[in-house]
Amino acid sequence: MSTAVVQIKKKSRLSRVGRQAWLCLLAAFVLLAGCILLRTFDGGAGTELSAASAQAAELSNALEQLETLETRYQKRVTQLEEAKAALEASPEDAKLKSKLDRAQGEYDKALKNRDKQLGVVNGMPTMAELNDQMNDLKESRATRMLISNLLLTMAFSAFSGFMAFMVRTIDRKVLISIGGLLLSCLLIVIGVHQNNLMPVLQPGETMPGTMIIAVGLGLLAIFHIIYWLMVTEDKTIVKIIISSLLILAGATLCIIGLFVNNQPDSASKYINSMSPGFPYIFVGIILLIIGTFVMAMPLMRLRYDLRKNPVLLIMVLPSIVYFLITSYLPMVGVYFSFTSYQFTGKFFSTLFGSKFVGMDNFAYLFSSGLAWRMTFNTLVYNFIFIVGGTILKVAVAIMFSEIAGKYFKKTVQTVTFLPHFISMVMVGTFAYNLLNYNSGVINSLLTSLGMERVDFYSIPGAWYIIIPLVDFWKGVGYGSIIYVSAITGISDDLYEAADLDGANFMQEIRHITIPSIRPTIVILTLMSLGSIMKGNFDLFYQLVGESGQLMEATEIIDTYVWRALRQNVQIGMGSAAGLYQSFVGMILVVLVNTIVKKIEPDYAIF
Amino acid sequence: MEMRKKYNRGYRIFNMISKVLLGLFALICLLPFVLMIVGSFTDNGEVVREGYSLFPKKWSTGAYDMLFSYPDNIIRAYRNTIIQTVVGTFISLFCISMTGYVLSRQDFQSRNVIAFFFYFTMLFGGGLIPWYIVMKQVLHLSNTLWAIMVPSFFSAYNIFLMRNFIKQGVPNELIESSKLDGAGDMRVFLQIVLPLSLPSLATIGLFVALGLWNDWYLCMLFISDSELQSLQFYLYSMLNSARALREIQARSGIVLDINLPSETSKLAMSMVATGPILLVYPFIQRYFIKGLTVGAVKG
Repeated sequence: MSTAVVQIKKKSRLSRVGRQAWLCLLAAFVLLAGCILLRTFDGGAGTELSAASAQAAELSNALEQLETLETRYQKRVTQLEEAKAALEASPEDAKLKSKLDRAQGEYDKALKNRDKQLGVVNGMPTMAELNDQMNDLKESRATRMLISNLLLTMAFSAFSGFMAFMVRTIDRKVLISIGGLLLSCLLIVIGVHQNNLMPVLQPGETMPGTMIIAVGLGLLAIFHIIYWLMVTEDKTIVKIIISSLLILAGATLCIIGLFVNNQPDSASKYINSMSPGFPYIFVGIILLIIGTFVMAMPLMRLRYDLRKNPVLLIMVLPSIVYFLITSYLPMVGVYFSFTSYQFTGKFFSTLFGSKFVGMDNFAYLFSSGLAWRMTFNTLVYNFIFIVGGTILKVAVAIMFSEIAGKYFKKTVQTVTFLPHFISMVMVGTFAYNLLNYNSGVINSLLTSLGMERVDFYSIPGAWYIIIPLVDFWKGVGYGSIIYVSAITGISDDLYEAADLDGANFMQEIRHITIPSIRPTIVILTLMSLGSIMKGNFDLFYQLVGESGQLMEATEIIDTYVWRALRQNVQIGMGSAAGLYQSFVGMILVVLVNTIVKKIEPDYAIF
Repeated sequence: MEMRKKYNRGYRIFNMISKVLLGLFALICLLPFVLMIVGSFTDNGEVVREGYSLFPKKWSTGAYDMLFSYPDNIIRAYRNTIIQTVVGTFISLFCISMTGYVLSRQDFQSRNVIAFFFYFTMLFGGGLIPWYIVMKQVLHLSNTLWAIMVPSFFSAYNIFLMRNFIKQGVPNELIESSKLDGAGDMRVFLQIVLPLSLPSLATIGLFVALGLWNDWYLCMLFISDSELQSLQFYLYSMLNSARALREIQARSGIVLDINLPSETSKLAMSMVATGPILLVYPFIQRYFIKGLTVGAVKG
């Protein structure tokens, strides 16, 4: 195997990367995790803060309403006075009398409305109290945020180090540019910290740290360009100019957005809507990312193809556009998980229009225990699927390839394949007909045997067994094919030699068949471990449906996201769960792939 | 190999046990289908009185008569499913094979960059909700059959599968020599690569078609117009509403005056929805085996 490893190492650049690079990547992940954890578990301060600011928004709305009611009341008072005066002048006029009555009624109504609103306002905490509360919360959170931001900065630097190690060894020039990146990030962190320490903004006030953040951003863009100039291999002048312009433009837009946010009159609007500079910052960040991609990508190949294979490029263009829209645009949409969603009908205006709430959604998911439950269920079910499924598939494959009888084999294969081809709707129906309380086959059998009926649909624990059984029923026959073909590939010589040595049949299976298909088993298992965070929505939904009774035992991440989309309409929360799933899943795949590369280099995906 | 085994110790016992176990497994796999078929031809009264049986006393086609007395919904659902399956499969086959062909060309320098661009979508995604919002608000696909077809047009997995098929099945020299003879890239694809990879096209096409035929999920997500419901979703909503009503009746004891689909007619509906697959299944299964074993080769 060692020669194979050497060969692979020569082939791929990723494998050439030394230990330092992986250490850098690991450090980056650890630091990032620390940063996220600090933000997510802030003792509820974030949630309290947004609750307080929501209350403040409510209060200011109520105050505004009170003001309009007050003016209306004043108007009614003058109208009533006028009507009274007119009636005094000519007491017998019936018309004037009815007018007075009407004015009296209007006055009463206005008074009642005003007093009601006054009661509402008096029932709320005052603005000063809310401000004090928010300031306290902010202060208590500021240190935590500072540490979290510092960790983020360090993670960013570690990642830069990883990128540099991947392409070339780090020398002094690269180190200096990474140092520059770190410094400019530190400037930004200082500015943000000053803003975080700032008490709640009063109308007309501005954030104190903005100038420092702006300088930090500018420096960051410049050092970013320098860093990539040091690191990248393909130093085509056009590419450098384009990407530098993109990065600088992105940073400029970000800075503009920062100052737009910070105008005295816009600061007070923060409370109940998104920040006005957000579109600038958003587009700026996208430009920064595109610029970085252009800088990092070796474009020589693309230019070669543009010259030599333009038709091929055109042929591949539809798929690129397709993936950009249906896969990469939704990746932009993970921003929803940091907002409290407000529907406006258009994708981008919804995206820009929703209020940024930071890690609140994640904090709620984890502190309420929802995330733990669905993660636990997803992992447990997938674990059973993987372990049980692999054992059953291998067993079926071994039995299948060793038995005699051509027609028997053919029939068995055809029949055990069949469940794979029917839709999950049918599977759900079969399961229901089998399990339901009134007319299910199992319950009918139980009654005819003189036993008690069992209501499977009210025993959550039973589903840890039922769902895997159904999954095996549907998947084992089809999944065993891969092992059958692996067994077919084993050389007959091995068995003949074993025969000569007097091995019996079980010994042959244990010492030849199973070791020979071990790589296949290992690889397939590892591959499925990579997707252990992904649940089979179809299976769970068709078997369990929306039963609240069984949710405890059958809620997986996918069903939660679906319910957040279609039932409870908690878009922010659902996106947060989805992002959590995607992110952890991706890390797992990368991890698993690294392990596969160590064990069987030929099977690694990348 | 067969000869060898016959003389090996313990083989006969193993053979017996294996045959029994595999036979049992096959029986478990088959039984629900048999019950479904037999049940749908059983007299409804008998099912209600005595439950399902493999050997009913009284056969009847009453369930089908009842189902097809108002065939509009079924015909409509069939029409939608057939449209989405046929159109969707053809478009996606064209898209997937074209992309797979480009990625398989050794002289295409950017192929690794682009392959990674596709591959990354398998690694990381925005999740269901942002995707749903994009489909609905950017592409405006809700309440059209496109909503069901578009997601299958390109899939990274099928593209890589196709690339591997073409790499194995179409020799590079053939492409090079036809290019020397003056054929353009598009022409090479249409006249040489496509005809040579017909079996692989069949395999991937069947994968896609099976997914489209069996789809109920996308229909549930995007389609509220009953005119556009697919067969599986129609089946699902019919069974589900009957199930929910029965639960209510059983729990509350109130007998609702609603025409519930009878037990046998539900089975008949399941038959109608699954029948075509059962019919073509024996002829297509070998393509699935082929796709599965080739797919195991690294992507």
